[in-house]
Amino acid sequence: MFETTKMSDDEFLQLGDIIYKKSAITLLREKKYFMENRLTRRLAELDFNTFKDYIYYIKYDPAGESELNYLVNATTVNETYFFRDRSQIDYWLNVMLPESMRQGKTEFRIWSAACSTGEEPYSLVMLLDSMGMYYKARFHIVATDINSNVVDMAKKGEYGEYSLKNVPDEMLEKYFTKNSNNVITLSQRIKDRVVFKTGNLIDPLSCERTGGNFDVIFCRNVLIYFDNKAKEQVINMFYSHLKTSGCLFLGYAESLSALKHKYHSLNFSSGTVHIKE
Amino acid sequence: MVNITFKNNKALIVVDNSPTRQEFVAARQELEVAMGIIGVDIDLARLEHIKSDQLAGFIMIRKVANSNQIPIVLFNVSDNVYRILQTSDTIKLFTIGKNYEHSSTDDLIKMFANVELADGASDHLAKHYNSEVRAELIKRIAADKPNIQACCLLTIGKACDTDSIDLVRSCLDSPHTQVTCAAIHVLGWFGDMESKDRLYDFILSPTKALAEAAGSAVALLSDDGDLVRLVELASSNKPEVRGIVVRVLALIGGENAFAKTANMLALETDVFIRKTIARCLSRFNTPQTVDLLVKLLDDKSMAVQEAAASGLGCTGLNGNESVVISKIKSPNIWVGYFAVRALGHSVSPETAKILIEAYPSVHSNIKLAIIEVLGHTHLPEAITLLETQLQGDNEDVRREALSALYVSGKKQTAKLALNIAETDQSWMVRYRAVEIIENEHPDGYIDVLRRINETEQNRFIKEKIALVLGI
Repeated sequence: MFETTKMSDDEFLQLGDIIYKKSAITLLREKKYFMENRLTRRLAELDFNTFKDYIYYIKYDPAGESELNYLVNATTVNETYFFRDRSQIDYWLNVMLPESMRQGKTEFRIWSAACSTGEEPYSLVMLLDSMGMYYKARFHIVATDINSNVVDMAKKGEYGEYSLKNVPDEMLEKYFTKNSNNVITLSQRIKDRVVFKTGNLIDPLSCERTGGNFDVIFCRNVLIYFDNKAKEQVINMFYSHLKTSGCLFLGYAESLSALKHKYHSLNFSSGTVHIKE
Repeated sequence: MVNITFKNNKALIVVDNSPTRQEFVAARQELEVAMGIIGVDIDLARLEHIKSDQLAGFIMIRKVANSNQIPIVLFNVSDNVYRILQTSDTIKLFTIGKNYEHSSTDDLIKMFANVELADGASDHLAKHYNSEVRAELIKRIAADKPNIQACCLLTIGKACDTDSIDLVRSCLDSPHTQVTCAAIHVLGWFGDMESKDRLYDFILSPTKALAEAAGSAVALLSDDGDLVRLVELASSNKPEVRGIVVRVLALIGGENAFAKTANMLALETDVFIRKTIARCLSRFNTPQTVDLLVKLLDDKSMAVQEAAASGLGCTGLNGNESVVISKIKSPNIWVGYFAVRALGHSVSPETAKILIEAYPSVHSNIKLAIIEVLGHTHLPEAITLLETQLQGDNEDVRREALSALYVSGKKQTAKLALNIAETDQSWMVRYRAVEIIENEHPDGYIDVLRRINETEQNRFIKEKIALVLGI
């Protein structure tokens, strides 16, 4: 019932600017068509004829702030899957974690930042569980994402073929169930091990609400959406939320080399970990 | 994997996840000895992310292509890979394109699972529809995930494959809403009168998506003959059904449908539905539409007033300027905003003066609407107001004022733009200024742009300047 409303280049830049100021995410020009489709219905619901009207609504209406959340949700849709870039998780589990436990540590706080629909934190839980680590130490996993919709989906724990493509059969068997409608759900026992929250990496108050300091932070394939200024802000925020000797894992292609920071970076066979000394 | 093949004097390189250096070297060697190649296409549909040593592989291929002056294009670049190219500053070395030519039917159908790629893949399959594509789509409709089924159905619809109508009809019974929705849409596109009764039933569905889809489809199959049936539905005690009926009437259009809609408005008490009716009225192209909308500007509901004012932006005012202008100072800032927008671009000098007088005391969004209108008046007092707004605190106001002045006088504004492009605090305003400079080439623009380019941080402005200066 809704024809697509056309978005001019100028309107796209303005929307991009609004999204950037809220989330530090830069929109690629290729996203314009996608945004038109996503937002046309929203324009009709709000009685707007053009994207210009919508932009002014976000900026000048008292309800604009909550509309901005809707907009960010509409634009931050990122597909991911279980055990993505697993070698990084394996390195932490098989090298760094045992070392910390050898030194007497028995409690670990983990932050999965920009967790999307939860595959990363749940992957960690499944691996910890399968290694019997929950009998040897306590693990508190907090997972955050700016997009409230994906956080809700993460809490629900229902997944499709794409997300599950890397899950070994024995783990599928052990941790997932399929119902009569072919919906695949993660077991409640695993879901209960992660606390999900909505959180914005460039909003200091939001980051404070994540709660406390962490032994390890995973923030992978997210900083590529930010410019250098925002990247610096985020990695330094992470630094302040890490315990001494805590570590940060970024995506494979994400490097700190162009940024001002205090981490000590350590290369391992399939990646790099950044350590707070 | 890096796989190179040659066809029609073009090299196609398909890169899978985890390509190795040796594979790039092998591809480069093949390219070096190939004769008569006029282009290199690199398909990255299967590459989800990329590491720096892999980037080196692409640059290696590019070097060979460049040395033989062969254009090289990267296709189907994922968001991740694009951003890495951008971050590593290698994006400028490549032309990026979207091309489904090298993707198999199976690859394209897999893209249906990706919301960003689904439409493009579906359009491509519909455009190149043949028996192989058809067979594959039909197979997937029988056995794949609901979102894939839905996309397959829509593709069949886009391809106008009416031979598949029985299959589409059968999908009306799918347990999955998105599949049923897709089937409804396609039957509407096919003009399937046989399914009309069933589609009417879906209008009564408690599932909003189904009801709305059915409304669209019924509208495509309807004419004045359906008005009786729709009026019956309009007496439903469910507001959501009445809302759908109004939209269907608006899609059917014409004087008779308008009369029914006006009648619905007279009887309707639900504010949300009244607002929907007000909104839909603007779709009717009848002489009475504007009069009815103008009347609704005095409705007791602010939401209805807003919808009416917004609707007038689509219909024009048909001589009702003075009534509409009185709404500028409505307590609802959106009524005021839409009232100004509804004035369009040709306002009388008297109206322009009213707008100028009202300007200091209205809300920011209404100011922005006024600025846009004043740019078309060419009145000296309007120009004066616009020029003062170039110094304001609000970046939107400054940008709109600059745009409005440009409408009023291109050459003079281009001279102003030279300064604004260098000095304004907001990149949005500076960008607008550079756009104006790009269009008008005022005296001295090259030196100014070169100077700006040395210190400007914003990448959109830098790209624009590079385009203008040809660097």
